[in-house]
Amino acid sequence: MKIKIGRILQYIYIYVLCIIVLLPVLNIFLSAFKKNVEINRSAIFPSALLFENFTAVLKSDIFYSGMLNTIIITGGALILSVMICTMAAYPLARNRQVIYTIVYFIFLSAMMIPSVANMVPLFSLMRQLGLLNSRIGMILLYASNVSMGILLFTSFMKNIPIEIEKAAEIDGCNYFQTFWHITLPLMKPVWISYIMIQILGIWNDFLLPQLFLSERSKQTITLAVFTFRNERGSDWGAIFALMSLVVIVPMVLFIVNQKYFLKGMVAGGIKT
Amino acid sequence: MKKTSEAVTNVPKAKPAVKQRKGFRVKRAVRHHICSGLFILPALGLFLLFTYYPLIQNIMYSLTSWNGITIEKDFIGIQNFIQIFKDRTLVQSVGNTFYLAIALLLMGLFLQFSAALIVFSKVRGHGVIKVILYLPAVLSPIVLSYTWIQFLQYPGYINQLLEVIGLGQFKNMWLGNESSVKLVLAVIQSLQYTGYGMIFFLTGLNGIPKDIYEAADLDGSSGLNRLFKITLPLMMPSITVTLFISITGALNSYAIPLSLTGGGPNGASTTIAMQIYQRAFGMRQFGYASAIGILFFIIIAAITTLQLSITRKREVEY
Repeated sequence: MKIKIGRILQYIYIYVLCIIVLLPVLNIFLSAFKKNVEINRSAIFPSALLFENFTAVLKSDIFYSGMLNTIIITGGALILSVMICTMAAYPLARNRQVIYTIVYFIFLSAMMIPSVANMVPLFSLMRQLGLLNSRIGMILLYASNVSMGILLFTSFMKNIPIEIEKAAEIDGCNYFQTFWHITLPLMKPVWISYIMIQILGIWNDFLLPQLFLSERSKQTITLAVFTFRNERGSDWGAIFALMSLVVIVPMVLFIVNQKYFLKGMVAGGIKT
Repeated sequence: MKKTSEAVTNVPKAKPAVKQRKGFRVKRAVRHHICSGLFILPALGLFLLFTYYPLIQNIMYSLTSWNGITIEKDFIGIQNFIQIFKDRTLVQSVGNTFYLAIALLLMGLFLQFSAALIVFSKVRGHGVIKVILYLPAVLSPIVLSYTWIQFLQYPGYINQLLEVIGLGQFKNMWLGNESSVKLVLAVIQSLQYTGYGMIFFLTGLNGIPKDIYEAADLDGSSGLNRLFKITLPLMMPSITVTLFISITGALNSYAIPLSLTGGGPNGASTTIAMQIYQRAFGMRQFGYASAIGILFFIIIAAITTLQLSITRKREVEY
């Protein structure tokens, strides 16, 4: 009997926790239909389904430019970073010489450098390179954040039997051909995990866009929410409508690909 | 794995090596390493340019009184660092950050670990629970902050609830109160990452072989004893990773305090990250902000190194 009560408490605890976690998310969508007055006095449900808030958002330019910028920056950064991380991981996973180990740890050491601590010199570097308010600048910056990719890809490649590559080499494949025809096709699962995690990271990032994209037309969608809030002040209905449009993409991505989120990254992180 | 790869590399040695062939092999090895280097180069180049070069620059700037605009930077030695310790608002924000981080760690780890244990015991609907708890982690902190305002403002949901259940005297300006604001921020952030940490712990729990528990059952161990003597030590690797991510995440708090409170009231929720931003881009004290950044980096590196060395030592083989 005693055990059963404990079990019931566990059920109550975890379900209550789920409700608490879910409420703020639901509130985003509910509030998107509310009038400003209702938001200001925190009415739980909207009195009627108002679509005015959405039309206000769809009329504002920052929604479109924000989405477009985010897609360009995320896409560009992902393509570039998957390429360079995979290339770097290949020799790092296959060579045992000390120099490769050192390079590997230099890459990983960056996980300890908070981007916050580096923001002043990073800003002046970006300014020197003329990359302020530049989408290319953001792509390079995100792609340069290689620690996670190299960690994941290297540990994944180490689990691919080296014999396959040796066999290809004996058959006359050169370095690049072995990499291209043998190793690359096997990388798909870890790429997908990595891409999923990175998409969300870039989509939701706030600090770097705030630092480097002050120009309204270059802002990413997450920064656009912040800008929109500062511009509209108390027009919370429109702000919530914008937010509900912004969160749909990561939520759908996550729910559709949940197994990659719930498995992929952890496995790589813990094994090494 | 190691054995087989050695066997493969040993194959050519077994054959009688002709002189020409040996030269060919050396040339091949050189070519191999050149190719390897070329493959690493793009990642290393970008990485050094955007991570280590700024870090070195940071040290140089921190010794100047640069305002971020002029070309010449006046060298002032370690004056910035001395100034940091006299700077009341900065010291306050360091205190805030640590308060926030410790509260966040304690609450976050408790929520994550308890949720992982319960989900692991296969409660009804554990698949859905995992998804729900992870959901806030995929949302932007800015968006979450704005929706939390609906709960935390004076006429908000929480005060409404307190009124309904007859605890009206506990109604509070949750974000306008210097004594409660940090705690509220810690709760919000720990709820955001409950599912995230839970997944790491679940991986650890799943990795423990079942027969160890069976053996423990035979020895008559149960309950808490089992948790502390078997489960925790065996999932140390996932604890190492989760702790590392939580500590760095907590110390870097920026977006949520900024969008929820703007650092107020009276600087009670200003974090170090916000201070660095404010000093550099608000007050144009680039040199000073760099010095704060350097100190901040050293603190984070020291804490995480300490943590890694402590938890790594406790990882056991099985």
